[in-house]
Amino acid sequence: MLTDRYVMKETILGAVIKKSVLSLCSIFCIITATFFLLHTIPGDPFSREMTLPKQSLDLLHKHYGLDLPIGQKYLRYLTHMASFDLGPSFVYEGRSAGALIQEALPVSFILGLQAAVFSLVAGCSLGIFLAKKQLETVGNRSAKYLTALGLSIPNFVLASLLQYLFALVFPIFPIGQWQGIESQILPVVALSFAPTLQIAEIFSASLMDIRKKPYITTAFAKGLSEKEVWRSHMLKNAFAPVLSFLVPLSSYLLTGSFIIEQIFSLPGLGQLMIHSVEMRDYGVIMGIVLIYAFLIFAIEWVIDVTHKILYKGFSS
Amino acid sequence: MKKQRYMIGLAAAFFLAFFLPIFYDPNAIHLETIHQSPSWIHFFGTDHLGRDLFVRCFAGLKVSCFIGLLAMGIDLVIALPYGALAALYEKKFGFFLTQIADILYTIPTVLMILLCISVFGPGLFPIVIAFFLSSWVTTARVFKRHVLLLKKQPFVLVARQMGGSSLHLFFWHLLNNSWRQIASMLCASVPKAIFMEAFLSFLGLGVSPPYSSLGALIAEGVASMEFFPWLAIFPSILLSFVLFCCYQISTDLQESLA
Repeated sequence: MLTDRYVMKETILGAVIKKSVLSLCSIFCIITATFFLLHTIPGDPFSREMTLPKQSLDLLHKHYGLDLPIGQKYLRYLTHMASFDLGPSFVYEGRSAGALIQEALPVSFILGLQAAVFSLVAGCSLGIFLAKKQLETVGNRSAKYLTALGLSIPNFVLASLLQYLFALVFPIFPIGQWQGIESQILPVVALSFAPTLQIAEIFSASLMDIRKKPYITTAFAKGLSEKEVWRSHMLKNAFAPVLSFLVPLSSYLLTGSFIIEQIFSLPGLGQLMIHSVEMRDYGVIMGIVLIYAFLIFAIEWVIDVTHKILYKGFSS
Repeated sequence: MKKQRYMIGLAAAFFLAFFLPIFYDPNAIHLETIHQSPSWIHFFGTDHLGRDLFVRCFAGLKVSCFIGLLAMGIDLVIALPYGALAALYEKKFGFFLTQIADILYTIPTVLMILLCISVFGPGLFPIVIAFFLSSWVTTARVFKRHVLLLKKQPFVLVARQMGGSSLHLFFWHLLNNSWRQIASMLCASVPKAIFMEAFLSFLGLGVSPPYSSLGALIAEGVASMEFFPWLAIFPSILLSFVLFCCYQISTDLQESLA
């Protein structure tokens, strides 16, 4: 019984503070690990340019501070980062990593946000539809097949196909640009196809699960109509697993945006990251890892707090 | 019978993947037969160097198969002990294990792989390293939750009451009651790994050019989709087919649990 009292005592505020501290620690760990990973291996961004004489290489190293011992480099990076300076880009001369990221971030962010909203709305509606179908005919397995189908068509195949069909064969949507809503439809659809079906499956399974709960029987016994039971008892409670799915969803959207940006040639973070990885542009890689870590922990934080507020008294 | 259907499909695909590249060289160049459309001689047609796409597809599937089995092996060797330890010693050091897993869980695998690629250069090796670092986390978390649930079952409590040690409990009672769960989890991790490898090869960061990989084949095919559609269609279908079979097997296993 001691544990029960302990759980009761843990307030929302306490949980939020604990979560925030843990998230900040995690971000710090990730930055440190990335930094040492990138800086301890031999070679650097300039080693691929074989033709450079040794003096120029030394000068370049000195200019970018690569000749310092690793401890000093790390301290320098941390102090710079404290003033929101992510350091210079090694590939684009005279541009800072911060500026490059600032340019690319809105594209990825808008793409991800649109895909998240689209997959949530479409997924939940499809989930309700599937659940109703399942209630009508017992043993309806269409939800399972749909998810397996959605997961087994890789998003890069789907994106290429969509681009080919709706931009080349039937030129309905423009491609290769990021202006106006019509150029955003294809990328968003390609990105949110799989998560939509996944959310539909999760939501319908959760609805079916809740339907069997005693309090739903009670609600029906009280004389509520089907519609009222759905609205006031089932939908909110069935939403909890979908809310938990948002963390893997955000990480999926991030993964997906890499490929979608590449295929539709959108100037987003994913493209920048892939280019930086190819060129070993440390400053930009570190910056993007930092941004992603921050974004993901922020999303997780928001979802956690929402969960705590929405489902007070329920333990997840 | 339904379950066997997917198993047979997958087994046939993997069988071809292992034996076809032995008898036919996937990289053999025949300049006299470039860009042939699908026929009875070349089932999937040929590419811009006259290489047979059928053989190349299955040679690519071999890489996918290797990656999938590797992910499965990593899950078996790292994730299961990790999850079990975190659940069994929940009060002692399990908290730290859980925290570490939570942190790793939030880092997307693709970010980890890209970091490894920026450290070791492109190829299969960084993907393997990244899998060792991060692909097992999901399975470990699921298994931990499963063991925690089992731990509260009456028969385990009784066994503990009778003086069974944690290790005895784990090997005798918990493990024996979670084989199906484990099989389902391992099956679920295979398609994810296959997808990840195809994804990276599609971007040109995976297997290097002379060797084939489904992702790289799809990328090549998409580039010339207008003129030679079969180059993109067949690898895509094969990849989707393998992923679909894996997901179906894992779903069936999960349903047989309930």
